[in-house]
Amino acid sequence: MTDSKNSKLTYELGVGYDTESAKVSTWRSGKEFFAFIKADVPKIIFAFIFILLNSVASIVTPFIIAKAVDTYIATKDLAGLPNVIWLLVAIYVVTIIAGYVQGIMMGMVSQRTLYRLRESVFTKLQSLPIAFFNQNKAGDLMSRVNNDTDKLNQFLSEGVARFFGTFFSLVGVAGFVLYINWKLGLVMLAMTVVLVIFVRLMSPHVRRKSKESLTAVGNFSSVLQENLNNFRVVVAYGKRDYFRDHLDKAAYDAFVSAKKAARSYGIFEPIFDFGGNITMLALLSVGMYMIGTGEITVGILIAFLAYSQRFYSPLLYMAGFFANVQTSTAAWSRIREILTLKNNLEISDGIILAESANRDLRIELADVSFHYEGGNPVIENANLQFQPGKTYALVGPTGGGKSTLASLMAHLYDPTTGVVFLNGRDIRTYSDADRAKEISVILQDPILFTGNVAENITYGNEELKHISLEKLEAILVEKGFKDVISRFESGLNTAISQSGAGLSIGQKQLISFMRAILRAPKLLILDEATANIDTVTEAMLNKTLEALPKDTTKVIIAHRLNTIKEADDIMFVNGHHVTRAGSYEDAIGLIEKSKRTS
Amino acid sequence: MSFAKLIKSYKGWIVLVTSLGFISSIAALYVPKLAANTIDAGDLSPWSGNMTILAIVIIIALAVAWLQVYLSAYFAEKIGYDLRRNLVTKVSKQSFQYIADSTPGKLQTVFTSDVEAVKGIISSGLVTLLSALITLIGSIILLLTLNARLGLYVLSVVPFLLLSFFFIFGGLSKLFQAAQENLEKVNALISETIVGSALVRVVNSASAEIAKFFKVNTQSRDIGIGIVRGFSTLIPIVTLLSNVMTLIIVWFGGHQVAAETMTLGEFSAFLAYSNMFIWPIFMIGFLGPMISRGFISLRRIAEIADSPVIEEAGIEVDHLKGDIEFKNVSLTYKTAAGEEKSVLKDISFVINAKTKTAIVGPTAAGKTQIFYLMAGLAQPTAGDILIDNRPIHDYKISSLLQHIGLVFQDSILFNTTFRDNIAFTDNADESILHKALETAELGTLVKELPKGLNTMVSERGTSLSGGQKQRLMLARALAVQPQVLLLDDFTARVDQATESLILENVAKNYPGVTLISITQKIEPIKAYDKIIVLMEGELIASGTHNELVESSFEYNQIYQSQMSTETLHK
Repeated sequence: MTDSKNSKLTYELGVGYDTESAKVSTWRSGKEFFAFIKADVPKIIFAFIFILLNSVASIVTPFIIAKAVDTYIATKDLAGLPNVIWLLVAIYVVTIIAGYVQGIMMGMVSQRTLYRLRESVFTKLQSLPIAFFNQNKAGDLMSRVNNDTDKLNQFLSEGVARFFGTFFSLVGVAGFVLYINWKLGLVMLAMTVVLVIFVRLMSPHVRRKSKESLTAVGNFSSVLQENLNNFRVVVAYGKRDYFRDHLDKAAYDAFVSAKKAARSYGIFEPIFDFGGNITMLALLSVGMYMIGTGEITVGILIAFLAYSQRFYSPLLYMAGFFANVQTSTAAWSRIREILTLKNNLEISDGIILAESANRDLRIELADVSFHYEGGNPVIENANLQFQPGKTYALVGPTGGGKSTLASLMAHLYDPTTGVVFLNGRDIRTYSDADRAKEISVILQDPILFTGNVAENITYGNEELKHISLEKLEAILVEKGFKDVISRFESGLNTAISQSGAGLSIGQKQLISFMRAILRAPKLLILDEATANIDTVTEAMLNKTLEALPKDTTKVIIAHRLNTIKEADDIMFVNGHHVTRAGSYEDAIGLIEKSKRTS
Repeated sequence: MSFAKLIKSYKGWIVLVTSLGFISSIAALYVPKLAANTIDAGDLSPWSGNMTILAIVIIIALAVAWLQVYLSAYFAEKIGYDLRRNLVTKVSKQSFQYIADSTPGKLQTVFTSDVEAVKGIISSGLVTLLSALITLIGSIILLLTLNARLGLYVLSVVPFLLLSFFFIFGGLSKLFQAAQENLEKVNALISETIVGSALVRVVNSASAEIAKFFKVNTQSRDIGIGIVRGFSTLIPIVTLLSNVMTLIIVWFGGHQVAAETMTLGEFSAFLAYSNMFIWPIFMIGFLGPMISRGFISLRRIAEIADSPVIEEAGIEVDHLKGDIEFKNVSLTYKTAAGEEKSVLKDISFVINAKTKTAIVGPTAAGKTQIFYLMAGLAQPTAGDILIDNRPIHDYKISSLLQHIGLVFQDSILFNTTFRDNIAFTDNADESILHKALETAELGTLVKELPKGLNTMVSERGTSLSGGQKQRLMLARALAVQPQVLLLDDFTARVDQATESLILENVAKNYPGVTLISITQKIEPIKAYDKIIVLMEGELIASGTHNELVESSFEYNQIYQSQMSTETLHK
C-alpha cells in the first residue's frame, strides 16, 4: 500500500489514469471482475449443470412428439402412446426442477455480486482523498456507483443465464436437426447465416444511435436538475422564457435522437420473425418434396417446423446479448477505473519520514509548497510555526491560498514538497482516526446531512454518538450555545432536508461551528467559519472559543477584521506567499495595500 | 389530464398503431394454419398454391410488424416529448414557492422516470397488451374452431395460469416497491457522502458511512434475492402448465387423429397455437405491474400539469423610480411538522428612490425574506408591499423584475458559459456586460479566460474562488441595469478592499440606483440614508446610523461588537 508514496497521480476519471497500460487488456479486466464472482463459482457450476439439463430436455421433446406422431398417431396404433406420455412427463419434471434451480442460483449469484461490487466501490470512494472529489463531477460518480453496477447486475442476472440457456438450446437444436436429417437441417439453419450478417452490419449503426439517444436523455436530465435547483434565479431575473426554451430544446434533442434510435433497432425483431417464417416456408417446400420421395415422414416435418419456431426468436435474443456485453463491459471499465485508483494520500505505517526539531509545536509547516494537479503554485516555501494554546489569523485577498493552507494543515492534501508536523510528528504518520481527534476544521462551505440539527452537530463524533437530545442540549447550553439553538425553529429537533435546503447559510455555519467545538480538538481551524453570521452572534461564538482548553491552538481565516482582532499572530497570505504580519496594524496595512491577483 | 384525456388526444395514433398490431397478430396466427393446410393438402411438389399464399402472408407480416414496431416507438417518444414540453411550460410559469414545496428532486423524478413510465405504457404496454390480447383471443377462437373438444381441454389450463400469475405477482409487487424505496436510500447515502466528502474526511466518519451503506446494501441484496425467488417460481409454473397443454394435445389429439376426427395438419397447428398461447399470457402478466406503475406515474404528471399557474397579468413596467414601502407586512409558513412559523411580523418601512438602505440583524432574523417579498419570490401573508406607490401585485411581475437586480446570498451558477450565466442570452449588449463586469471587478478575470465570456463555468464552479463567484453574481444583477439593487450579504466572501472598490464602482457606474443591502458590517453603511434593524422577524429600529446609535440598544450592541475594527480603520 505504500508503494505509491509521493508518486503523482491524477484522480481525474476518464483520462489516462494508468499510463503504463492505458489500454487495459480485456483479459486483465476480466480477471479483476472474476474476483467478484469467485466466491460463487460452485453456485455457478451448479447452475450451469441445470441450464444444460434444461436445454437438453427442451431439445428432445419435439423429437419425441415427432416419433410419437410417426409410430403411433399416424399409424393409428395408440398402444404405445401412454409410454410416450410418461416419458414426456419425466422430461418435463426435469425441466421444471432445472429451470427453478437455475433461476434461483443465477439470481442469487447476481444479487450477491452486485452487493460486493457496490460495497467495494463505496468503500473505495470513502478511502480516496478530497482531491479526487474535486476533480470529478458528483453526478458522474453517482452514476458509476449506481447505474453502472446496476447494468452489470442486469447483465449477470438476466443476460448470462439466459445466454447460456439459449446458447445450449441453439447449439443443441442445430446439432439435433442435422443429426435427424442433415438436408432438412441445412434448410432450417441456412437463414441463420443471413441474419448473423444482417446483425453484424446493422449493429454499429444501432449502437451509435442508442448511445446518442442516451447522451441526449442524460443531457436533458442534467439541464433540468440544474434549472430546477436554481429556479430562484430563473424567477428573480424574469428568465422564465429562457428556462422554458432551454429545457424544451434539450427535451426536443432527446426526442429526435430517441426517434432515430427506435427506427434503427426496431428493424431487428420483425426481421428475425421474417427469417423464422421464411425458414418455415422453405421447410414446407423441401419437406413436402422429401415426403414425396419417401426420404422423411410427416412426423419429422412437424418436428422440424416446431424446431424452427424454437430457433429464430432465441437467435434474436443472442444478437441482443452481444450488444448487452458491450454496454456491460463499458460499465465495468467505468467502475474499474475507480477501483484501481491509487491513493496518493497514504498513511505511513509507523515509518518516520522526517523529524521536526520543534517537538513542542502544535503544528509546523516546514518548506511546504503546493500546487494542484497540473495547476500553478498555490503555496511556495511556507515555513510556519503554531504554538499550543495560541490564536493565529490568516488574512489576505480572495483566491490567495488561505483555504489551501488550512487543507494542508488538516491533511486533506499532502504538500507537493515539504513536511507538515503535528505535535512534532510527521502528519502522514497519523491514522485518520488519530488525526481527526487532534484537528477540527470548520469548512468554508458548511456541509449538512439529511436528519435533524442534533444529528448534524454530533455527526462523526464517536463520543456523542448515542447521546439523548436533552443531554446534548445541556452540553451545548453549558458551552454557551443556548441562544444559538434558539435560532432553529424547533431547536435541536429541527429537521434538515437534503443538503440543508431551507436553512440560511448563517444557520448552516452555526451547526458546523457547534459540531467542531464539541469535538474538543487540539487544533481548531476556522475557514471563514462565521462569514455569514452577524457580529453579535459572532461575539457570542468567540466566547465559546475562549472557553476551549488552554492548550487549544486556533487558526482563523477571515475577511472581517474584528474577527481576527484577538489573534496572537497574524499571517498574510497572498500570491502563494505567506508572510508574518506582526501586529494587527501591520496586517491592516498589508491588506489595504494588497492587490488582488484575480 | 387523465388517462382518458391522453388517449383522446392521441386517438388517431392509437387507432393506427393498434390496427397495425391487429393485422400483424392475425398474420402471425394465420401462418401455422397455412402450414397445416399445406401439410394436409398432401401436394408433394416443392411449390404449391398454399405456399404462395403463405409467402404473401409472410411478406405482409414483415412489413406490418416493422411499421408497427417503429410507429409505436415513435408514438411513445412523441408522447414523452409532448408531456415534457407541457410540463416545462407549466413549471416555467410556477412560483418559486411551488418549486420549493414540490422539491426539485421530486420534479426531476416526474420529468424523467415518470415520463419514461408513461412512455413504457404506450410503447411496450398499450400496443403489446392489445396485440397480446388479440393473439390470445385469436388463438382461442382458432383452437375452438379447429377442434372444439380438444380446444376446451387445452384451455382448461388457462385458469391455473392466471391464478399463479395473480398470486406470485401480488407478492412481487410489494418487493418491487421495497426495492424502489431502498434504492432511493442507497442513492441518498452515496450522494451525501460525495457532496460532503470534505466533512467525512475531516471528522473521519468514513467507517460510520460504510457501516450505514452496509446496512442498506444488505437490505437491497435481500430484497433482490426475494424477487429472484418469485420469478424462479413463476417461470417453472408457466412452463409446467404449457407442458400440460402439450401432453393434452399429444394424448387426446393423438386419439382423435387415430379416430380420424382430426387431421395430422390440424394436430401440428394445435401444437403451434398452444405455443403462441403462452406468450400473450406471459406478456399480460409482466405488463400488469408495469402498466399499473405507469398509471401512478401519469397521475403524478397530471398533478403538476394540472396545477394552477400564476397568470402573468398587470402593468408593464418601463421605468422604475425605486420607491419601496412595506405596510404591516407579515409572513408565515408551515414547518415540516405542520406548525405555523412566523418569519416576519408586522413589518412597516419606507425606502425612498435613489437612496441607500441597509438591513442588519442576527442570523435567522428574516432579512433574506424581505428580499424574497420584494422580488415576488414569496407572497406576504398579511399587509401590502408598494413599489412606486402601487401594490406589487398590480405589476406584471416578470416586467417588474427587469428593473430589480437581486444578488443572492449563495452563488448560483449554471453549467454554461460565463456570458449565459450573466446575461442568459447570446445577444446581450456588449457595453452593458462590460460595464457590469468592470463594476464587479471581474474585468481582469474575464480577460484571462481562454475564450473570454464564452468560457464554460465548470459544474460546481470549483475553479472559481468564493469571492469570484460572488462577484459574478453581482455582475448578473448589474447586467439587468437595475433601478433597484438588492444585495444579500454580498460582502461576506469578498475582502474589504475589493468590497469598497466595488461599492464605489456601483455608485459611479449606476448612479441613481436604489440600493438595499443586507449586511453584517456597520462601517460601510454608516453614511447610508437608512438602516433597518431586524430581530426575530420584528423591525425593532430604523433610522440613520447616528439616530440608531442614540436610540437603539440592539443596534449599539451590533455596533459595539465591531467597534475595534472601526477605530483602527479611521
